[in-house]
Amino acid sequence: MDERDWTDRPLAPETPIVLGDLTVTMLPQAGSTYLVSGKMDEVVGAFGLDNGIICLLETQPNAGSFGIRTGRNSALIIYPDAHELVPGWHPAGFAVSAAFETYETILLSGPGSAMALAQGGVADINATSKSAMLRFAGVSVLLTQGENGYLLWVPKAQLTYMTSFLSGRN
Amino acid sequence: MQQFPCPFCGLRNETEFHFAFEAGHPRPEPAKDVSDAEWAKYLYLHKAPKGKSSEIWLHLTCHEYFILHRDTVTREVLSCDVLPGAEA
Amino acid sequence: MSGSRHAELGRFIDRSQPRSFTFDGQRIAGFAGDTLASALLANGVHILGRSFKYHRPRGLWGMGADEPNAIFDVRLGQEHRPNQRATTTLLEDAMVVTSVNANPNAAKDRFRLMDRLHRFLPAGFYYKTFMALDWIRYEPMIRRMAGLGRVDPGYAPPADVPHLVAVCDLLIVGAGPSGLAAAHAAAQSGRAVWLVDDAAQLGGSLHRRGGQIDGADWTAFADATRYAVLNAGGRILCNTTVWGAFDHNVFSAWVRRLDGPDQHMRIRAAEVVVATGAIERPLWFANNDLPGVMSCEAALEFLQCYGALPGQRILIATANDASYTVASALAKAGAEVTLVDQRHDAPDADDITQIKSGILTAAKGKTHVQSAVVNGQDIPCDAIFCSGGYTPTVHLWCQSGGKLDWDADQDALVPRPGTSSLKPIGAAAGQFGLKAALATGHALFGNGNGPETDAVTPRAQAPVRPDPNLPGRQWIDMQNDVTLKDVGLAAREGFTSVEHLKRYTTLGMATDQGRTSNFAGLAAMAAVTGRTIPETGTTTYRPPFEPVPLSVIAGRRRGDLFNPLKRLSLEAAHCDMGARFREYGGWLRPAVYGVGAEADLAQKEAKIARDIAGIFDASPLGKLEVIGTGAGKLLDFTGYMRMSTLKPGRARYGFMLAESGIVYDDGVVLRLDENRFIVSASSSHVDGVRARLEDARQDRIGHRHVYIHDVTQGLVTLTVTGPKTLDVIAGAGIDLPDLPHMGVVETPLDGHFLRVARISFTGDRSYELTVPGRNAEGLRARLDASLKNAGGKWIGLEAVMILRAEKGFILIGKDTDGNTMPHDLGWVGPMNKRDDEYLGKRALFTPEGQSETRRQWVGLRVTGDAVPETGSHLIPTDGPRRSLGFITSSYFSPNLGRPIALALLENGRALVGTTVGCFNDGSVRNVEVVDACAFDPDWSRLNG
Repeated sequence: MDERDWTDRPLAPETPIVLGDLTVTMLPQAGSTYLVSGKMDEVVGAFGLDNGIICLLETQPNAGSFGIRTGRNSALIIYPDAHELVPGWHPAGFAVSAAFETYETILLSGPGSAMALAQGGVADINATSKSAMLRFAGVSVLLTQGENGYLLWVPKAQLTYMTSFLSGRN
Repeated sequence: MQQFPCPFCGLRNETEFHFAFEAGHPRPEPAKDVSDAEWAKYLYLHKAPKGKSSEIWLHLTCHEYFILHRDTVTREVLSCDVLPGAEA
Repeated sequence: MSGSRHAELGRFIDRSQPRSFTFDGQRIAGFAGDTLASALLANGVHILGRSFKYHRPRGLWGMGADEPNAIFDVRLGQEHRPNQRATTTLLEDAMVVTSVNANPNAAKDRFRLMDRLHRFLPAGFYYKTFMALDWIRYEPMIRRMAGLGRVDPGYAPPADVPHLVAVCDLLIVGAGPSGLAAAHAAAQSGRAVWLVDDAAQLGGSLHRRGGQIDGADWTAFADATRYAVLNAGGRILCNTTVWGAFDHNVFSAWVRRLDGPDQHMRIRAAEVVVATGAIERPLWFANNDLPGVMSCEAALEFLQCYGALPGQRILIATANDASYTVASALAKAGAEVTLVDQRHDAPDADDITQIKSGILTAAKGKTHVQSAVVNGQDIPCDAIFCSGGYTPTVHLWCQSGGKLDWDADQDALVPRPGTSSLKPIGAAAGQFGLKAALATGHALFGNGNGPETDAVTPRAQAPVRPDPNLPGRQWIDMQNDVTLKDVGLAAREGFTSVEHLKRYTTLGMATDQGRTSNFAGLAAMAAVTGRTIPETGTTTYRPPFEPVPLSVIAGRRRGDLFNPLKRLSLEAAHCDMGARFREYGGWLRPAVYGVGAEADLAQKEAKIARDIAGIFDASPLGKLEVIGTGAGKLLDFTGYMRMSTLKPGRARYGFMLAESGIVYDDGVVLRLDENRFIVSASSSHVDGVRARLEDARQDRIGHRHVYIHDVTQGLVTLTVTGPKTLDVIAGAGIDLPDLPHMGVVETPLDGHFLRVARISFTGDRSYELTVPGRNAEGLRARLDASLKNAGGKWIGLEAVMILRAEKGFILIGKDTDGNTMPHDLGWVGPMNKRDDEYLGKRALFTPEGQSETRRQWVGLRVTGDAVPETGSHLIPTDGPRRSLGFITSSYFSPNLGRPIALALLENGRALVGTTVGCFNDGSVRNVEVVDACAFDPDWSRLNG
């Protein structure tokens, strides 16, 4: 198809998509996110996180800073408010990069959210996995849970695709 | 759809993995001491065994390289090993 | 016409809901619950199609996925589905059904005389024919005459089939008596069972054969099973075909739904039971493909489930006890039945005319059965129902790796225990009859006695084989028009392996996948070659079990969900500025801006960018942060150019090689401080470069000294280029620090992050401005206003491509191929100077790497305004013609006012100043070999 026919749009925070028993909502970006690598058992202390590091399908804390495990030595850490970390090498053995909007967060809520996960190919995985990063609908995303449903941390450039995928377009 | 074990993440679908190299081929170096034949053997002349096989795979989502022991005929996954130093 | 509707029978149809459709233009009435096959049968329509090769009239044979003949194109409203089996297509009101491979219709086919030519159309006809030189002349005609349905190019099925991933503890495929018994026992013991059947209701063969289970009608047992399964947390999936067994116990299922789009399920099951039953074999006699010849089981199914009585004077030919039930049911329904049994010791049939030791040798009739020849005597009849025994449905078993054994008692190939983890039961395991089905099903999961039945078992049968000495043509594969003689011919010509037999004669290769023909084929081959059936073997079973629509397999991953592109943060803003998008390296990016011909716009943009200024969105460029005390060491190993010697605040261009020495990627590496680098991988190679960096990190440098973070998608990079660059940036209110070429600095802008890198992809003074995604629109708006003031323009990737080509900058994968090494591109320094190890080093010094005939990177100069085609081969101007290389990029340069071209040319650098031929589409023009850099060769504009 001609690329110029692509008229789909990314999800926007102010306009959730309601599909029967599934609601897809984009959570607004706030605060600061960083990619941190190093010794993961020391990361909470080293970066003053209020909560620990969560794994696949674990529930995110609803207040304070926390991390999501992305690999053996790495995590995405999230401060709910503006927080300055010096990017680069920290002599304690950590590497730090500002993640900015590398990931956008999508909330899947309602009884249909399990079906949405099954369409992305998730029913099949070992839910006790330490890393929260997996392939969902062909894209590497982070998958956690919030108070109201599943949370997909989608790479920014794939947000439009993920919106189309979840909304069942064409 | 096969499932492979990432030593860190556990069982995941095969679409999350890439084959990297056959295991057990140390890189010959320094370059000046390596003959053409040795280099060709390292790069291309692999065993590709029918049956039990040890391979290096990459888990694309967490970026871990690891050694996967599997049977190429029955598709049975036997075990997996971390690369040396990964647990350090 | 024969064929009628019984007044009472027909458990699947609802007589209160009449339906109608047209078949080849003729209006046919039926009821809700009818299939196309049952409605046509009840209406006495017997020619349902024309055969693939000989255009012989064909009628209904079977009742399910085994149907070889009744294949239709079905139109319903806008929807058009080709090659639907009449037996599995539910009748819907207003369907327009046409027969396939028939013109104008099945009853009056214009190619019906083809059958007279059968002597000239033996097995292997196509292979032999297409060996001849003139094949191209008659190929279109043969294509028109042979084949199945036609695709309607005007109809595209919607991409609405969801693919669902599911896991289950116990999957039972088939809900006939054995599947029901297994499901019942498993659910009773508390297991969550998924019970799947391709029919609309549970029961399988019980629907036609009936039976008492535990002292009541079988339907009570089916209801109890349904309740037990659901009660134990299981699922019942009807109208669902499990069509493939795949690695690690994954099974694909096609779920047909009336109230919504179909579904495709990928079920990973811990334990799997195969209760798929068996398929009846035909008998082999002359004209056994005549309309009116049907399977016994199918005749019973149509009678009991649909009330369709396929004939009035019926001849049943068999060699097993199972057909006796069919005979008495048909007699009870009012037909006149003659039962012909090959066995001399056949059981007595009450109230039915019976011929023991009766051999059916031929069917007679022009377009429909008029009589049957039994023991040399003509017996008038209007239908022949036959049974040559039963073949267990072992497809899933074999797909999962299971092997088969020959069971002489059951006269069938049956699953060999221990060769697959699947658990076959009932008829699929060669355990025929209701009693055996219930017992084998129950034994898997139940204790003590299973469900009781009064059914007589075992059922006796005698083996039946095709007889090569019988006169006339005996059809073995009806769908692909293969006769017994064809099998003999294949054997005489040396194709005695069943796999060769299949390919040579096309036996079993049609859409029915040889359900009814494979056994006869291999039995005939065994007989002709004097081997046993196990010695002859079977062909390989592969998914799918039955034809599955491609729209189901493709699911929703079509159109723009097929290969989704990455999207720019500023896409909407680019749209507003008139951008027209194309795909570049997996990203949707502006190709040009504005209205008009794309090539003209690109020329204008490239001109303005050189004359004044241009801005392009370079966000897809990789931003891989390499951080740690080992970062320099890591990049030294993974790169061709050394990076540990780079000073903080500076950038260096480099290659990443594969171990084979070819250039995998190129890009600029920035060093921000002692322990922090950023690798700007090509936009399409970010993941690949990341993987190679991780490889060296984990397997060589060590996990603890260096880490890699990919922040490509969180940042937006806008590149300002051209002589007025500084004015544009200053006009946007950005206070630019003094930076040398290849300098980089991070400096806040209005309190947010900004990185400025003075790197040039165009050869003009250029600055890459990188900000977080959320601040991108602010930066864009400021730059846009200033750019307009300066008279500059946003430029798309097409203009960028022209600008980089003018400078002779390469694009990896376009200007390089799988043989290009760094020294071919003129970068010889590291190869000659570096003592340390790096990726691909040794390969550069192999005889291939050092060959004097390597293709090297050069420019070409042409006379005239015609741009030489990219891909044109370069050839010597005299001597034998051969390819010296090819043009990799060519454009008209608006800044030079002439065409430019870049090429990989054998020993090209030594040929600079000489002339070579440029060959394209048969014509040759002379071109001069020049340096790759055509524009501003002394690089004065970089600091201009």
